[in-house]
Amino acid sequence: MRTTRLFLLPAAAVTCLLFAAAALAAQRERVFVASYGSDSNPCTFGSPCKTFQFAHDTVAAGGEVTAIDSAGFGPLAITKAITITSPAGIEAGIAAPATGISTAITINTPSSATVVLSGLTLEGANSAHTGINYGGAGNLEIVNCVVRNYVVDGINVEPTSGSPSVLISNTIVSGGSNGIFIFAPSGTIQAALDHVTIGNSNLGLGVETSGEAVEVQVSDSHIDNNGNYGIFTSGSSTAATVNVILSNVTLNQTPPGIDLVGHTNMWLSGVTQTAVPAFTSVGVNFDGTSTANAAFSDNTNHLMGGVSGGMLQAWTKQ
Amino acid sequence: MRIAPSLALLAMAVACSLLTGPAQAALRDRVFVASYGSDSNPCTFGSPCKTFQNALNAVAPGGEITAIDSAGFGPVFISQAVTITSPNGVEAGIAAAAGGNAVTIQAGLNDTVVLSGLTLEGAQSGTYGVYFAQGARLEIVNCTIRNYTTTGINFVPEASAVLNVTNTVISDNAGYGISLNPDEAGSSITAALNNVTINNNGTGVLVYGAESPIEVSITNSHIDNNLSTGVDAIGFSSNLVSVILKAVTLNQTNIGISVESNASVWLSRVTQTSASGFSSTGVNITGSNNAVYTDNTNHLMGAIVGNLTAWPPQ
Repeated sequence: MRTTRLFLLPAAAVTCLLFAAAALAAQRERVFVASYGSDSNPCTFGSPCKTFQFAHDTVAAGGEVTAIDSAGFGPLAITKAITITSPAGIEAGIAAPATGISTAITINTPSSATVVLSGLTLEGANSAHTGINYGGAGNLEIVNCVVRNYVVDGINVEPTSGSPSVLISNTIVSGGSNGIFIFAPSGTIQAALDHVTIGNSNLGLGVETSGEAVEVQVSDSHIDNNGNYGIFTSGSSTAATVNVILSNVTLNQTPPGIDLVGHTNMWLSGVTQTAVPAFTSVGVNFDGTSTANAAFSDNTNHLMGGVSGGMLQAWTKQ
Repeated sequence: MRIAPSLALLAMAVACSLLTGPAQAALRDRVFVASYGSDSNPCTFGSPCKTFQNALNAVAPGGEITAIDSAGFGPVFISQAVTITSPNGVEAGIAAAAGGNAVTIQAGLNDTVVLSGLTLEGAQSGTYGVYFAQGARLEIVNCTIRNYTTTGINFVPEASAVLNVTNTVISDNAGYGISLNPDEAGSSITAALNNVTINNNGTGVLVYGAESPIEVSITNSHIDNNLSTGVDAIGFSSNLVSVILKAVTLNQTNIGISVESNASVWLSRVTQTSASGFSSTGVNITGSNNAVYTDNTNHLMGAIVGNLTAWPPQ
């Protein structure tokens, strides 16, 4: 009698994973756009969409839109929490429409919605009006972006309501009438700008309020080679004061470096504003007849263009 | 009657352990994941896997897992030395399941784990972005860790360990951006955070030495827009907490730096902001056996509760 034995066949893979191999369960939605995509696709990595707008409309609130390759992905209106990201090395361009006022990214979000723009390169080609126009109420984070060659504003932060916090980090803005403009028509804004480079704009950084007090900290940044103003500030009343804290900022060759129009408090530490023969400019200008401007220095600055129309006050260190 | 010869059981590499790869596969030093990968592949560049976890089962200790293209590669439990990297141009993400962690690390006492270029998205439902329970060293470089309900980086080692975080954004985590909290006696922490942006979390950095001492240096960093406290330093008894801040911004937070008992903080070129309409406390010192040192290069625009001590340079 022949005895047969049960062979234990080698298992192809007896793998015990702690987590399901199919990592799709319960994942936040992640959608993709690509140059070869189509807006009749489901926006998956394998079947990406063609436009940011369609991807935005397809993804869940709080989801992420990723650009797979370099292309123009069309103007985008954001109305919910979302992350739009383009990994470094990929240029997500948004071409200007032939006519009309054109904005690459328009944001109009409720106060509970945070919008994150990461790694985008927005090219205005000196014909589109605005790179990023933020008119919402939720928080805004712009990280590792390049916004260049827009005719009016590179980045316009103008919340409609609420008191959003804004982070602009590791971002380059160049060209345009205004590089970065922060304006509170109502409500407050608190903003942190770090490692921001603004150049070749008419006005590098503008901060204004007619609503409530705003507070902007600019650190480790370079607002250089702008046409008419490096930093321009204007509050409207004692309740609507502009507060700007500068730490480690260069203001190269712009006349004037800093222009305080009214109801502004500005603190300067480690600021270098340049002016040399044949390249004269005013360092800090207390503009016009407006009152209630104050500028404080901790004696670590170089304002080579000097101070005009007012005096710096001591900003003691601790 | 012929008796069939006894057959040796064919050995199976039963991959029911966390360390070994799929059956009969030798562990590779370099493995790959891709959106088009499959977890029945050997995780080579030509035949990549689909998840970080499966790639981990295929990689040798101390090896490297590289993401070939942009996708989500799933939560991962790490129990060995490994590098998980996503190069520039590729967005490799991990979306944690609700209530789960993106990366959990329970490695050997001598193991180094490196996370490079990853995007960890908690979607306000994942609990911890990175949960480090054991290992020698954790390096987090060029990562984004965001939207976790408890903590972005939860460093709670059971034995002494080192944390390095560089060029990383940690934001929108409801509890803490980074929490340093040794889990047991004898689990001291040394940490260096450089060029880190810690934005819009509940508390930016918690340094809590209930069980063991902690020393952390935070340099060239931006701890901004956090809701309750920027840096919270708390020691316990002989478990002293030491925090050195150099060239750090603390923008707009209810309390910039909170120092409780048995904790010392050194400040150099720190700018903590408070402006009209945006009042905040700059430094809040409570308890005993503590000190906040300054070399007179700081701007603490908010109120200072307690006394600052001179920190002379050499």
